[in-house]
Amino acid sequence: MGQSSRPIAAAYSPDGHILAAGDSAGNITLWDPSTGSERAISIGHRRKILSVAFSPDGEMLASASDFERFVKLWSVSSGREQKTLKFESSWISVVQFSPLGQTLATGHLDGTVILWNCGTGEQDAKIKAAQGSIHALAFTADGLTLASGGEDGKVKLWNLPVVAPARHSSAGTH
Amino acid sequence: MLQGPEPAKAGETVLSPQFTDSIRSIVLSRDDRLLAVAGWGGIIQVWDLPSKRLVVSMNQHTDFIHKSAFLSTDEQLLSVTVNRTVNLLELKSLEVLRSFPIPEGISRGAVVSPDDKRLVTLGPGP
Repeated sequence: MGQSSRPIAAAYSPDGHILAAGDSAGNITLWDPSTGSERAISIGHRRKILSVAFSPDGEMLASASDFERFVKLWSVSSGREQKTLKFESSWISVVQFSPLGQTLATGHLDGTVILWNCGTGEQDAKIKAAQGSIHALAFTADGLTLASGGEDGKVKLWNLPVVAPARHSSAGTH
Repeated sequence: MLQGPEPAKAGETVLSPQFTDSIRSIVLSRDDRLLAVAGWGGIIQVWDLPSKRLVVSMNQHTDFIHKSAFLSTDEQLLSVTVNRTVNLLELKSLEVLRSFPIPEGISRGAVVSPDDKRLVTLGPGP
């Protein structure tokens, strides 16, 4: 991480072997907590990273940054971009994978929650979930419910469609 | 236009945490039984998810909470505030087991390792 950059967002891989940290300059660094060794990945964000999340199998990392209307999905092993998920809604505040990894939920400053199909990169659903910004998202362990919360101080629970687990291939679309 | 999923129950707001301020953290226990919500008001509420009933509402912090996490046994809840205070709460007894400051910088975020052994806090540093 650069001298002038500051860590803003972080996430542990599900096995705890990698700590991903996004900084104020738009960089992401993968750390090995046991050795302290680090690996920077070039990700294409130019603004500060606001949220990062590992897929449940630990193979993919999602990242979102300030004032950019896209989410990047990255292969953790190769550090290469798999998909760019573009949207027209306002900026993202939080990203969260579903427990089976088939869906990525993004929370936005205009109160929208978008559910993305990680296999196709398409939007499965778009919900107006709050008045004001979304700041928190959490899936139940069975993946059937998404809880959202934000600026309006309300927690909402959403029933989700049942879909098959995602298979994260290395040949993603852009 | 895309079709969104339906709210879990009729009506939009299933849980009414009565927060007057922004929610910054929602976490679920591993068995999906408990939902903890925390936010700018310094309040943490724990809900029984199947019954949608409030289990407890706590005001252990005096400032904004930006992170909370169930530890792996689901018996303890960790919370981190922007003024760098960490509390570890025993849910059964509602007793604060540990409370300690984060030494340097303003905490901008926090993450707990899956084995509960490490708490990583983010901030500008010294």
